[in-house]
Amino acid sequence: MTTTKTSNAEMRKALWSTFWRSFAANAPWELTRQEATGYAFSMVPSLRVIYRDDPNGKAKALQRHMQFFNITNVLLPLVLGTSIAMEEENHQNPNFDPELINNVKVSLMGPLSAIGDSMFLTTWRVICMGLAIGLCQQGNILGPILFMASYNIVTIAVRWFGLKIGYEEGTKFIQRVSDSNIIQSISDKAAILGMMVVGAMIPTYVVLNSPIKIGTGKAAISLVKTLDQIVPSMLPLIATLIVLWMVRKKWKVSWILVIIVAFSIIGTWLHILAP
Amino acid sequence: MLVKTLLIGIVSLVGYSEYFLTGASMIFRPIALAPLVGLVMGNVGEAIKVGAAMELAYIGVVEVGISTPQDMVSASVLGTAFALSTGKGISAALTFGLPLSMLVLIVQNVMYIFVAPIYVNKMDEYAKEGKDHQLSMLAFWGGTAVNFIPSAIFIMLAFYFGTGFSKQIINAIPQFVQDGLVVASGLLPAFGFALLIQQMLRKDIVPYMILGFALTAYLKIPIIGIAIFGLVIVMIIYYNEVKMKKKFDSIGGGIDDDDDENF
Repeated sequence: MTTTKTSNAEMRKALWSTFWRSFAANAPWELTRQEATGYAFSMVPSLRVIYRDDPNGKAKALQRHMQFFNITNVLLPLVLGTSIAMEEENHQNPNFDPELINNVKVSLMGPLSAIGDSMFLTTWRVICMGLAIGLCQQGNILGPILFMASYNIVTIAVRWFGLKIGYEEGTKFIQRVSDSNIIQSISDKAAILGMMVVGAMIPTYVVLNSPIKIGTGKAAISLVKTLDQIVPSMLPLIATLIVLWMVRKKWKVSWILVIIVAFSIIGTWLHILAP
Repeated sequence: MLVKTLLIGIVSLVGYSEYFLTGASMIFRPIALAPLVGLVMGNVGEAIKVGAAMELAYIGVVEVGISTPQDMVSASVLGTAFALSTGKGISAALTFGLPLSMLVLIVQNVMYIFVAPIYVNKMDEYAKEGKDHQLSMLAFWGGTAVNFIPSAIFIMLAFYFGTGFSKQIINAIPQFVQDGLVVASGLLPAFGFALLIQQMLRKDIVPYMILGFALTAYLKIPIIGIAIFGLVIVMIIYYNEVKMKKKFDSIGGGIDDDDDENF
């Protein structure tokens, strides 16, 4: 019996270990090489199996995966899967160019992060929050549980199937992704969904009230009510657009924060705004 | 008080497990951490409400790439703790949470810049020698110890020394400032949404934002409803694309090169 070809059962066990380790991949996060340390850490169980008869190859592979890398954590297992498949090929096929392994990682890094950030960190998180926030505002413990459960059921599934697809399809997956504009298409659709949800959250969650009344005595009408008759939630919309303008002008984030807090306090002091 | 402080330290570590154990599970968001702080402080119901208000105020804080705009764990833990200890709710959560979390960010950056390179260099050595076990141990324990334990200790110290003073501090703040902070907590989501919009903004998807706004503003449709509408629109667009592609292929199929037919 030769030991060059890794058995399926062993590899499956190694993939499980890599899957679990990917959850801890950001523990050794570092400024200059970012997720590289966590990437090497996650690859260890699989490399152990692939290179068990070749310590030199394993050392080279470990060094390879200590190179700069960074990706949305949810999509990390997908890239890990492709790397494992390619490391296997590298071990079996002497003509395989190991440079390719890192080139593939680098080429996936940008586009996948763009999708991952807008899909999971933004859209899906905000949807889950919208799902749970009503319960939370009533002080119901089911709210936080609902938030954590709905967010993580989806992301854990994405992690597991990502690793599986990445490993089984290997380099084929990369070709497919780069040939068709799949990535662009997915991120477009995530953005559409995200924008709709964000738009919907403006009237619900931005609160801006003013005690100002137009007219005097009994005939006085509240300014907010008047504006709301033109467009409901007009003040929150205007506030969001003004802040968006500041953001687009590339004002510093901390300054915008200070401006918002100062505006609120001064406005309250002048009785223009009220909680 | 010592036991409570210790428990707050554990809650902080649970929050930081976002990075070192639970793989971006969103456990570090105020919505998830506040109830745990409530458990320590003995008031879960109120903590959940404060957590909800903080979640909205910090909704735009997303860790994209390497930029960390704010340390969410300390903002959530200390914010909730002082909101409960002063009984002032969200205005106390912002008053203490905002500045203290900025201090934690400094602590973290110091560790990242001066201490983290030490274990990374050691990991390089282990990689060269093929010592995978040592590399793994150092990555997990070294990374956790350097990147997250100091912040957790800072949170514990702030909690321990702050709880006694927090009431005096907040009582020294005039009422209109406290009311102003409540107003700010209503306005801060606008900042969050602006950041999210900026991230995704392209002219051709602006209509969808207006649609989402109009659907809630006029028809009062809850967020889940909006998500379902959005999903329907995405599906329609997708199937139209597929149809268009088929049509296009049947017209221009002859010109197509064969390297296009991978799947």
